[in-house]
Amino acid sequence: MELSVLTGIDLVIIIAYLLFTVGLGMYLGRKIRTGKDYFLAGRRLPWWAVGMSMVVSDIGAMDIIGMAGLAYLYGIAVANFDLIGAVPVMIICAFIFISHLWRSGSYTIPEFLEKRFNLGVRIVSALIWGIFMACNLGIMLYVTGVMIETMVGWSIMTSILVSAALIGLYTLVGGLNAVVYTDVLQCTMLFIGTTLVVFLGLDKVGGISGLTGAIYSMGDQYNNHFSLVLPADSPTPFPYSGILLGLGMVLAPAYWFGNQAIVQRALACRSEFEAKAAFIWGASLKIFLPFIMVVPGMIALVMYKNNVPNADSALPTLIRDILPTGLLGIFFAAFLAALMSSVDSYLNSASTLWTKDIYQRLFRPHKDDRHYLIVGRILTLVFVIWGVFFAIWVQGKSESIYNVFQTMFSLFQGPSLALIVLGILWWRTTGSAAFIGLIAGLLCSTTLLLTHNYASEPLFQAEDPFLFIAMWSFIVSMVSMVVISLLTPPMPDEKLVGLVFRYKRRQENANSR
Amino acid sequence: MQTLADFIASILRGPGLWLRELSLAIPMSVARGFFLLYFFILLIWVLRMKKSATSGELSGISKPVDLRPYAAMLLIIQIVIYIVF
Repeated sequence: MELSVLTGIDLVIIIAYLLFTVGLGMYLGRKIRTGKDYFLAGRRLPWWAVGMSMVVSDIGAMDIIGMAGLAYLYGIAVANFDLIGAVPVMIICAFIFISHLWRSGSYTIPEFLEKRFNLGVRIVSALIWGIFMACNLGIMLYVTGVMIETMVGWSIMTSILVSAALIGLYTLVGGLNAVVYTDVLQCTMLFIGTTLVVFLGLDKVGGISGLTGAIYSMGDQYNNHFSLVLPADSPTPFPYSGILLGLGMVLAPAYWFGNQAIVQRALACRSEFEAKAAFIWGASLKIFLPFIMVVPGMIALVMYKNNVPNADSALPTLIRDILPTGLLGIFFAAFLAALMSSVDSYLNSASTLWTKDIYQRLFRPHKDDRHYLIVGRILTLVFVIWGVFFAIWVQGKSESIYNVFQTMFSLFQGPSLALIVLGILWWRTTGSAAFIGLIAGLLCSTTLLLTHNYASEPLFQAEDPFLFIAMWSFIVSMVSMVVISLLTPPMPDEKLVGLVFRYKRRQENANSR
Repeated sequence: MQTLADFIASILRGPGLWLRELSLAIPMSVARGFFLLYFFILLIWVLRMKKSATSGELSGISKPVDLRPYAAMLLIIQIVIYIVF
């Protein structure tokens, strides 16, 4: 789908959408006076906006095209990422974890970890997340550039510069408030645009019965296309063992209650209960995503069989063929919405982490809140510029660097999750145990990855072992933390009340005995 | 690096292969059961929670809201999806 396919009315829709998004972000930024306004939107965000923002921030540049492509190749098993990989975990987070994070009054997860454990855990955690977010920002801009080049025909450089300028402008001015409310608009566009594709596509293939009948008639190799649970030796990236244990038990919880970009929104809610409701509302939206993100890939399979150059071109080809003038503009605006919502989230969160956990905590702890607002804005600008240069650097390194960073991301997911799970659920977890457990988990995941890559024969049978690496590093972190906690003195009560699940009630019960 | 990697792999490969064989020996109906069991346990947990922990005021809604029915409904939908597919 290139720009030449887009007509005047499509372009008007796209430009109007972009101008409205940037204008909304700028408008929302006019009342920002303090760091709290900038990083946590003054803790005034409503549940419905935060829930929508969480969902759309999760859908990145690659996801719309990538999920349809994976559905084209492997069927609905890719929907596991939105089903077991989101809904149950968001419910658990709503009813257990977010209460403690919100009540702590923290801006960031590392800040919570210092309140619960110690400064060392905060700094290691902040550095890992801060460096990852800064690098990932560049990679997201690069992927955004590739996607816009593929779909519009602009050069990657132009695409990167234009998207960085637009996103940077409203994030710099409006902070989290602008990010969340533009996400609401982007979420709405995303649902409208992708739903249009599903309904028009289903109409082309004879409805749902036509779709299922056509795929089953294509041969035995497509028998699993309608199965969510695939065998452990399935030649796909989604064997049930990895999905249940790696995704469902480690990567999904690590993402939904351990990722700063997600949790920061919930911390900005008006009340603890609104933060809970944001997760339940987000989960309600998430459950529809397989329908609008996965089904188009299956429709493309029926319409083109194997006659598209590669899986990632399945969706663009489908869109080109089924969407009429005007609707094409709406879909393209939805596509841009998905791109922008992820980049703005990481930009704002990277700036928050570096301002609060590094700059304020280590260098200038006692300045007034306006000072941190200025630093936050300067850092947002720095990260936009850094992101552009990093994206240009990544461009020269080809696709492999993207995979390297995605794999690196999985290295610290398990240990980070172990910190939050044990920190909130088990009062006996001590600061030194948390620190050693974090390091042990990181060593485990790094060792597994290096062994897998450098041994004469790969360690894991799976082609892409990140689900298993995350699972084992989580287990090693948990075991290390439990053992060392039992060998070290418990933490004082004042470090635990409000931060640990049912700690107050446990103390009351102990006193009454 | 390769020598060290081979050494570590030689230690880990045995238990790893045993776990892989174990996961392959589990019938697919039982594997699907694990998914359903996970959702059922969560559903029971949600339904047994105290109303005070799941209810409150939300901006834009005049009456207090209980989040339990919504969470339970989502889990029931998940169960149905994993039974059908």
